[in-house]
Amino acid sequence: MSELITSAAPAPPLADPDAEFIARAQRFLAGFGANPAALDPDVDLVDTGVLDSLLLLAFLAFVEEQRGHEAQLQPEDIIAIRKLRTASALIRSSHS
Amino acid sequence: MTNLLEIYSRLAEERSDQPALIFQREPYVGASWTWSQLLERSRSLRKRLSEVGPTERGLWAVVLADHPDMLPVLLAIWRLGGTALLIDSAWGDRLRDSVLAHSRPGVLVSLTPALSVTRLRAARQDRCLPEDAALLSYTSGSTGDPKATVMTHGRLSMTMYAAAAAVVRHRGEAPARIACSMRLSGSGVLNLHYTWAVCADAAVVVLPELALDTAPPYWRQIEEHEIDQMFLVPPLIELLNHAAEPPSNRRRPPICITGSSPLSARTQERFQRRFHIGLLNAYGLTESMCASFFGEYDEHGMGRNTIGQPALLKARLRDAAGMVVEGSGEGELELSGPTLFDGYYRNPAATAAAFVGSWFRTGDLMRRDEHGRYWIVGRTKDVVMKGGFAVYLLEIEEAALDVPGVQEAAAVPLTLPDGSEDIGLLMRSLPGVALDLGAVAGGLRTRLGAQRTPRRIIETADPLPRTGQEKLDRRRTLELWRTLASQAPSNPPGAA
Repeated sequence: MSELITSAAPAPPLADPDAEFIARAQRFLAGFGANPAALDPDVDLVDTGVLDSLLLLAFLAFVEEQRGHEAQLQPEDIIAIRKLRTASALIRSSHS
Repeated sequence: MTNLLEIYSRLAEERSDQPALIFQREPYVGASWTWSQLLERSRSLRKRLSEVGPTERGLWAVVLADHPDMLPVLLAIWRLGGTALLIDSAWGDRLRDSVLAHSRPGVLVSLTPALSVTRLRAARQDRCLPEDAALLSYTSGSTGDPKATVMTHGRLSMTMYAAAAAVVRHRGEAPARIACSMRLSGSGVLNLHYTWAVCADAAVVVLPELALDTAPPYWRQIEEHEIDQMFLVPPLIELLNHAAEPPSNRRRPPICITGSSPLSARTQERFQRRFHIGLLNAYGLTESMCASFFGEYDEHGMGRNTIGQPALLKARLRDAAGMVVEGSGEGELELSGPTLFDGYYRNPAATAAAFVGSWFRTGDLMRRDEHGRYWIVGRTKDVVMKGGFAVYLLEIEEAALDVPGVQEAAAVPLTLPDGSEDIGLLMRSLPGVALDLGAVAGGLRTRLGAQRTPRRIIETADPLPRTGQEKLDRRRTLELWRTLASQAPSNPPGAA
């Protein structure tokens, strides 16, 4: 069996506080066909087309699950979720 | 009055200077037509269209665009006695060519980047369309099994008058302004906004296309433009749930309607809880022209998840044993009545398979409760409802088999974590061929367009499961997909 996605995602450094979320989000998006090579934590995934209209909704549901509660996105959150690193910071802030 | 052009003409006389179409979407923000300007513009475009030569009562391919001249172009075609074949600008090459080859229109009209009117050489000489055909709408561009519905002026206007009446029943008054926040992609968006509006004597306000960036101020725009009615597919309702700022409730909220794909109880409940506005779950098909069920409010003015009872059409259920269900129960929904289509355009085999006598088999599984209300349960057809579009699995498989090196292909339905649907593709290459699956995905995007491109592709070395007649065994194919998807290291829970 082979998959559409064959290349490995760039692994964030272990000391990175966002590493765990980023790795989880990369696995999540790759599982829905996103190319791991396109899942750089600092790239805007809406601009690059990775998060199209349908995958965006799936990702919003994923982020909400990670936050652990239902929450309306604030304007700054809408900017944050476009990149995995800033999305991770959003989740950390909602846990603090 | 059942001819849509006559309905527009009547409004141009009765409401001459009142707005009919208002654009608040880039790059046409501020553009607007009154009813009389709309008709005048259609007269002028009629002259332009007729310059291509004899076109009386022909089929005109129209590339849909969110453009102030889109509606006048349709009116101009109807002035010429023609029928508009609706072409989605986002379709891929293969899909578009297949639709054009099957329908063979005489002329192609496009509004972007500028108005162009091109005579096509392979126009069909024999007239296959009924005299009052207004629109020809394809739901599948499969070369082997194309599915197109002829929408006549009579059936469309009757359907949309019933829709307008349903809104008055629900809301107590007719809307003056209907918002359109979706891309004009086909007959669904066209009829749910433009045709509905003209049959309700209402104006259409074209708001920015709803996306992550435009969702936060959605309700502010609804209030600012005094919108009384809106329709959004469930994925866009879910987007509002996540990202829209709540309405101020300084004016009466619009009647909010959703449909075109299943509405989860969770999405509906969240919308109503967040915005304190009832959300009606409507149901309809291209084959029934548009919505023919309009949902129901509860005693608190909140929408129930039921689609309610049909308007204009008769409905019944047929169970798995082939028996018509009496009273409450579950089965495939069948529809019959004056607004239902006659059959698929130039596809008698598909028509024969779709009807039981005068009853159309919808392919949708429903439950009918003790009050006669219908509730969506599932689907029997090999169709995925992706973002409000019906996508036939066969269409995807045909395109995949077009890709060099592909021996077998099977499309499967996927459910995303938010409940929306998408497409997976299982494929096997020819012996000795190493497929570049990224290139396969790119090829499918070119052939079908992004909307129909599978979300995920998995290659297998084993033959795909087939029945004794060599047809794909869809149940076993889905099981194989789930097995392979769960083995993939990148696979998250729920992706299968």
